[in-house]
Amino acid sequence: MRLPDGIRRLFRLGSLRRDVRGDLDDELDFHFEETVRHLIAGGVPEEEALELTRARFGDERAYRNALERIDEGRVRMRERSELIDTAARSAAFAVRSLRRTPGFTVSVVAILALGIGANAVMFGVVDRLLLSPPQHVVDAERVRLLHVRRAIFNGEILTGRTVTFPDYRDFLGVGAFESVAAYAEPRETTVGHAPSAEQARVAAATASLFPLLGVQPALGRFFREEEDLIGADPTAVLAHEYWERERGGDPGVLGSSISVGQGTYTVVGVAPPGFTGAELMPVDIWLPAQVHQSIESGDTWHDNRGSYWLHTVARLAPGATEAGAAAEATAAHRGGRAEMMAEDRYDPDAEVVVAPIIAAQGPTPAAEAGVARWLAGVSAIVLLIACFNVANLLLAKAIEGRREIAVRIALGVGRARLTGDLVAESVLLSGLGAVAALLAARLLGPNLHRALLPEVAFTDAGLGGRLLAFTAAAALLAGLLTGVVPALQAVRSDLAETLRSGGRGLSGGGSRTRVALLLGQAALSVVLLVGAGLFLRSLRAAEQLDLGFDDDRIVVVSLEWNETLPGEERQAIYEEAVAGIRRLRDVRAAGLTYTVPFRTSIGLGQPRIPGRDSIPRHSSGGPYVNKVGAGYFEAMGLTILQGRGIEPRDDAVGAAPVAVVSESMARAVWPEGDGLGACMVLDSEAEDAPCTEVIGVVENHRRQELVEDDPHFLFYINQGHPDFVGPPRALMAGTTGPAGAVVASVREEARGVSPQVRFVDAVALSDYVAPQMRSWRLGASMFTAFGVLALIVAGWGLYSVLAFDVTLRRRELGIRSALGAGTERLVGLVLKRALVLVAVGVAVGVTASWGAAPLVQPLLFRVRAADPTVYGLVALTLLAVAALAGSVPAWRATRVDPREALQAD
Amino acid sequence: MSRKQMSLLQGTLDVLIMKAVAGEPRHGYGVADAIRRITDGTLEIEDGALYTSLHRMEKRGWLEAEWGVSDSNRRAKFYALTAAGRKALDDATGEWSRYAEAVFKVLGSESGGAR
Repeated sequence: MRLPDGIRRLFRLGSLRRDVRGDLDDELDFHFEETVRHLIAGGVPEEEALELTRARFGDERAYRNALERIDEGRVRMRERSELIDTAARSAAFAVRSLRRTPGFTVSVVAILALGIGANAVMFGVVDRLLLSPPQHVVDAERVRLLHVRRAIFNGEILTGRTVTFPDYRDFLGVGAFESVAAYAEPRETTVGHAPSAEQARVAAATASLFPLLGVQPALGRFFREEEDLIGADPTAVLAHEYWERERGGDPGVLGSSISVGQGTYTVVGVAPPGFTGAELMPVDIWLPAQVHQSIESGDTWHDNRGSYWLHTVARLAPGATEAGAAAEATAAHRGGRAEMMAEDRYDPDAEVVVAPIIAAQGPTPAAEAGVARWLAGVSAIVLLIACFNVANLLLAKAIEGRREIAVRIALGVGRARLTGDLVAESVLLSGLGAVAALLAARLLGPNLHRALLPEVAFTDAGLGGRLLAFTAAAALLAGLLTGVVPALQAVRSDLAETLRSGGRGLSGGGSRTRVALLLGQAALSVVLLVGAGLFLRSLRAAEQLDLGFDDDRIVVVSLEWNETLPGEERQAIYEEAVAGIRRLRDVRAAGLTYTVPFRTSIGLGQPRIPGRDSIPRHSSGGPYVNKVGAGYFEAMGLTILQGRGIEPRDDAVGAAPVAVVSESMARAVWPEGDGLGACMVLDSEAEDAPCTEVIGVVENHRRQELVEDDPHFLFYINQGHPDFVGPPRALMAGTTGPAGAVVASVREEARGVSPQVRFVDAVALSDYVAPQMRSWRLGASMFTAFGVLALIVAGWGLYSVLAFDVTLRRRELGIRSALGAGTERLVGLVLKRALVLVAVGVAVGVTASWGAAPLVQPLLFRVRAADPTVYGLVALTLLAVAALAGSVPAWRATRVDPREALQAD
Repeated sequence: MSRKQMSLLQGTLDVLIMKAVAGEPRHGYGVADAIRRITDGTLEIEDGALYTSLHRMEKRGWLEAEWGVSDSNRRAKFYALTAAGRKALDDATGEWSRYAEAVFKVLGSESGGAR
């Protein structure tokens, strides 16, 4: 094949010099000869004439060099402007061509916008989660998140981010760290006063966090070291988004006070837009860690190595290495924990892991990060499908326009120029697609991000430079990918043959390429749909998991108080609230509780059973304890298996201490089934502590995790139990229908109980469970969306190929029809082609998915990645789509009029 | 030829050449010959400088060149004035006239003062 001129020109520097020199030689030779000739004609002797000619010219070598340089410059300049001219002509041609076929243009742009847009949105996610440090972090390569890897009591080794305040103090002495900061993850906390109280995401941080990260406030200042000490005047810094949303962006906010949780804080500053600290979770209000913690929890945490609530981050000192810092930090951590290690209460091999600030690159990436990686791959596949499809459409257009191309070739338009025109057309198309994609990403991106990853702040979801660069690259790639093959295909065709046949003939090459593109689309659609199927089944498995309770039919109500209210009053208000809620129409039952599954749990240490040394231990720790009121089991839908549940008579102060134990605990502790009436001593320190009588056995339920191997040990004690005083923390309302529909009326009821109620937090229990399903939900929704889109695009592509075939084969079909081929035969001809095509594509796609299955297995839940049902359904779906796509062209094939078809052209 | 004379001549040479090809396309020898005849040999211009000027103006787009056949029936490169060249020539001519006028004025007034 001839190389296009443009490419040859690139390698022509040597020949350029040769051409220039040749021309110059010719010109000067002529000059010398002419001068000499005229001089001789004027009577000058030949010898003298030559001498005179040379003298008149001057220094020949110097002039020649200068002239060559000028000429080379001129030739290069002209070539450059010719290239620009060609590009402009190609662009103009492309614009004309696209304007002639607006329907085609719109559909191609739409397909490309889809492909490129999906990638733009996914790039935003991948960039935020996997590639970029949190916003406003200066010199992020030197900032490290600290993790602790240690064995817990059952020997399992965990790597965690959460440490205690004394642990943080230990890190302050590490020389390899220039500075260290600590912060608590943002928590929903009540802000303001009833009735306008709201909840906001409140993060407590040490004053060192801001200078460590290098962030500058948008307004005012961050809190100072001395404001982060117990007893200091409480100060607060608002997030920029919160300041704009709740305070209208009023600069007068500085110096105003804001009531958060149990304290009142003075606003001293506003953080810059998009600042989320060292991690990615959105934050509304920043408070000084020590001040906030002492207001909320007294002094229970300052020297307590059992109170885990802080994450730590450090900036490496100049010259410090990661390994050196980790060793030093590990030594400091073990030093601080030496006493506990000596008492065998802490893993002596605990070590500090120093990891990059991009959490997804650290040892504890969120599940979303893994899914995001897959989704990036998926969106790349979508783009590939879109490109295949557009290439196919362009090819069809090129074949249709083949006569025009043949005419242009015959008129002497270079093949390079033709290829250029066609590639320009596809690059223009993908450029338009990219613009449409960016518009779509701008409009839909933020919503998609929020829906997919609510725990990640995406404030920079706009048109960042990186996103623009990525989109431009994707568009250019798509343009070349979609343009080159059809263009080469089109100009390669046999000129004479095309002209003769009036553009009807379908060259074997073009057809093969189209079929290959189609197979590729079908195969990739299969891969996506298999992914969708696997994630949908995972999600379904997770949703259908028996948690022990029906989380969709339970409302959790927690009351927030105006100020420090005596426990008895809180108890009374809760009791009044539960009574009122029980009277609501859609509420089956309601009961008070201390802990909420998937939110909190309390482990007490081992209860003592008189006459026994110890009770068996469980892998998940515990036994856990909860204090519940009458109606709790009914509200939760937990069945009493033996004995009785907690009844109203157990609620009163002074009631006998009783306990209901979970089935798993009953079976482990009293394997003979003789637990009823047994005595448990909860306060194992006191010699004469009273017995708590076991009065019943209740069903198991999940504690914190969807995936828990064994049901944990749990027992419930009654409200009136003398060992544990303190008001309930929540109440559970079991509903007759979906909980979401009842939340509002439950909240209303609880709000009306007392003016002391500052805020009512009422949500379906499923809201606490849902975050654990997020990765499957994310996978299921994205794979399904992309898979269905891919299927539509592929089905459409198949249809257009078949329809085009029927048009091209009109004459053949006409002849067959004239020769007596029946409708059935004609339909069969077309449909068979469709089904065979797709069947091969399905085979390829299934093989590819099968190969990739082990990679995706860790992301699935109780579904084999090689699940035959999924593969079968996907194959059937594709065949059905093939039949559908083939039906219209098949019908058209039967309508070919033999006479008309034979006379045509 | 001294540097001073050269720089004085640089702009002049361009104008002279353009003037020479303004009527009809000429090859390099033709241009040299024409200039020599017009100036009666008062200006000593090296032919190399002439060609440098021709090529530079070709690159600049003031002249366009085409290979043709000379009177002596030889292949030769002919230069013609382009539209841009014509404008440049007009501009330069105007400038020269003004310059010459000014010089003449100065010379004239000086002689007047002596009177």
